[in-house]
Amino acid sequence: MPINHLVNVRGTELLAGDTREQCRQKLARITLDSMVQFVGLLDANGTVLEINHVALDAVGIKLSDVEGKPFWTTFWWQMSEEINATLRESIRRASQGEFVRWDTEIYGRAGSKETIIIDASLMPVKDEQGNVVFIVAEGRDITEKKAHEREMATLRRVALENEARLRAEAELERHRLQMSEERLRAIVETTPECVKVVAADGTLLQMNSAGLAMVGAECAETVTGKNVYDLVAPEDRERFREFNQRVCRGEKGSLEFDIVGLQGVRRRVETHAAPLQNHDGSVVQLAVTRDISARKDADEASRRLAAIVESSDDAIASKDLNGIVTSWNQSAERLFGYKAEEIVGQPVTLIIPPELHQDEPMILSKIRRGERIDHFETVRIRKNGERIEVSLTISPVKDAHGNVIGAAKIVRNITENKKIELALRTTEKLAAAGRLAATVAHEINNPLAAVTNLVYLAKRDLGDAKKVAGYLELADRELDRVAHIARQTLGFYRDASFPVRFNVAQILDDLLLLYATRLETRKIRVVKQYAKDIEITGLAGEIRQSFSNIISNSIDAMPAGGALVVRVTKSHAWTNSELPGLRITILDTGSGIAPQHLRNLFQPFFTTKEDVGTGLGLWITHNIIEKHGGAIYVKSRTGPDEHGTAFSIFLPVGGKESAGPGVMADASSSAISSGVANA
Amino acid sequence: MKIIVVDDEPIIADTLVNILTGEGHDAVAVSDGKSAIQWAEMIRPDAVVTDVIMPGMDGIDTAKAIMKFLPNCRIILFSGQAATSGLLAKARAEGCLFEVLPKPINPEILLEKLKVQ
Repeated sequence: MPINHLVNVRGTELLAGDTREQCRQKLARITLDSMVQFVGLLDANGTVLEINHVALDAVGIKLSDVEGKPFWTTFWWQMSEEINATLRESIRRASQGEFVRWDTEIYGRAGSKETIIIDASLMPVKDEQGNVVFIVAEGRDITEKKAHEREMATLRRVALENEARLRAEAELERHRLQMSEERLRAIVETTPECVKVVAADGTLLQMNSAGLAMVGAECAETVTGKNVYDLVAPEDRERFREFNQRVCRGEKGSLEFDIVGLQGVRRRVETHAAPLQNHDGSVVQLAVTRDISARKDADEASRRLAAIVESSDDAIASKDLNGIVTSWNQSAERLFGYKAEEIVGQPVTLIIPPELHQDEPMILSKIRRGERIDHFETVRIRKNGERIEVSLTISPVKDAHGNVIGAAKIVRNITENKKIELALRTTEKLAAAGRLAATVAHEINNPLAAVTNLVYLAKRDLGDAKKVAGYLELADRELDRVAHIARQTLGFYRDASFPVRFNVAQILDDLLLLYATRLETRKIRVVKQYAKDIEITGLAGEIRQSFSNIISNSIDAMPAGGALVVRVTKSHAWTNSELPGLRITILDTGSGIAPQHLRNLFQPFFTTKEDVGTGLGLWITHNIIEKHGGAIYVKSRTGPDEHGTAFSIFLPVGGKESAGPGVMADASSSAISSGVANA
Repeated sequence: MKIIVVDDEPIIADTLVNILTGEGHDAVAVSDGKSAIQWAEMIRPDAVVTDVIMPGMDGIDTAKAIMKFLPNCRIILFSGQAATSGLLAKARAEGCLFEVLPKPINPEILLEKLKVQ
């Protein structure tokens, strides 16, 4: 069989027997189907007459599915109402002879709702009369082109954005640089230290305000461009020149030297310099220079102080708030036997006896509060274990802001003083015994004189028994007086070393009886006011001595008579209301104690009665009261109308033991000093 | 011899007067300085025997007052107290020298003193 078809293109066969017309129609069909763009033929109303295979295949439909239907009802155009409406409007315009072209989105993939973008056009085909008979619809897939265009647009936008950002950043950076330069300049200008730039040959290139002030220049022009060496003190000039050259060779360094300003003011300065690459490539010196004249003076002062501390005869040490030794002078080395290098960094408890370790937190807490501890008498231990009696004065050490950072301690060895004190006490006891002997002698001499006379008379009138009997009777009475005085006097020397319980009123009465003659001679009225049950425990002899000293002073203060009030009341310690005791007030209307003497009243050897006093009486009294855990106050007036002195003594009922640790040596001293201040 | 005895202890003054009277003297006892001066003005004694420490006017002031109007009167002071030394030193500074006998005074010694002119 001969070839019955020549070509078969997508179902259109060119047959050998086809007529020329048939061939043309078929060729048209093949041409239509082999085009890559969508092509269709509509009538003037938009009814589909012909659609090429590409368009049909794209969405997987057949010509029969759309042939004879209005074009806008076909699958491609169902994506949205808006797209459909645009098509209908375009067909209307094309049917009126207009060539319409637009880009639109349509369904373009088989079996899916995937869309494509096409460049659509409707071309009217007119007859000889110019009436539109057909419309050729064409659609070119430009999805990729569009995408590419979009991509390009995005790229272009990104590029533009980048460029803008870079420009902004550059601008910002420039601004920042400018700002930081300005800030730097402001810092340099406001810094209190001299900032300067010096060339290798010494030419001053730049200098800030502080620098100008330092050299006494009114403005920059006065000094810039001049040689800076001229401002350096002559003796330091060479050193500075070498230093400048060294820095300009690339070294960093610092130098201390004197400058002499334009106004002739000499200052000690310290400079810190670094090499700086100049614009022209040369290396210059950038220096920050500080006026250290004041620091030099302060250094000098502290060196002088350190020398004083080091050479002081008193042991001087310091510690921090944790009780760690921070300094230790030579006298401290001598006193305690520890070398500075041995003890600095060690706890201060090294020199405190174990039983006194609990004192340290008390001392530290006082120091922390910024309080000072004056003449605190205690015991410390040498390196060799020997115990020494010391007097401590501890002051808080503060930093520049006033915060307590440690303590400075002056330690005085009072072991010798204590021995001297003991000797003094013995001396005063002897003196007191002497005074007592004198009083006793007077008291005994009178009855003795009477007895002597009576014995003489008895011998003379021996024959007259009646007379003799009378003389002996009188003599007997006088001898009783002597015996009574002797008994009282003995009370002074009994019970010297053991605390006993005794009645304070009894002691005062005995004393007043002993001084009765002196009191009567001076017409001194005695007023006694005793509370009931006023017994205390203590060393009766010593307490008697302490009262005796005060009463004796009172009598001396009233040569022309007056009143002596002796009062005993129940009371509590002034510094501790928990501690029961007695308050003994001995008040006189005598001349009073001058204010300038009050302060020294309890000091040894202080006396206003040079020919008869040892100046130890009230010191002994103070010691005795303190030893018993008590306290003593004095108030005195020396006015023309109101004058007199009142001693007020507190003694704890149970003696020293009952007073406990609350009443310490320094506490009772301060009670005395405040009492004196109030007097 | 007319003698005034001054002592604030009556028993001493009285016994002394008794002793002096027994030896033939004309003695009178007083107990303070003021009375002594009054009696001295009245009886113009040859001697005054007086204690030093007394209430009111002391023996030295009494003696000085009497010596003003009886410059030749014998003054015998006696004292048992140390404080006397201050009073005597004061009198000495004023130009008055006094003899002081310690108390208790032995009557024999006192009588001897009065005999020595």
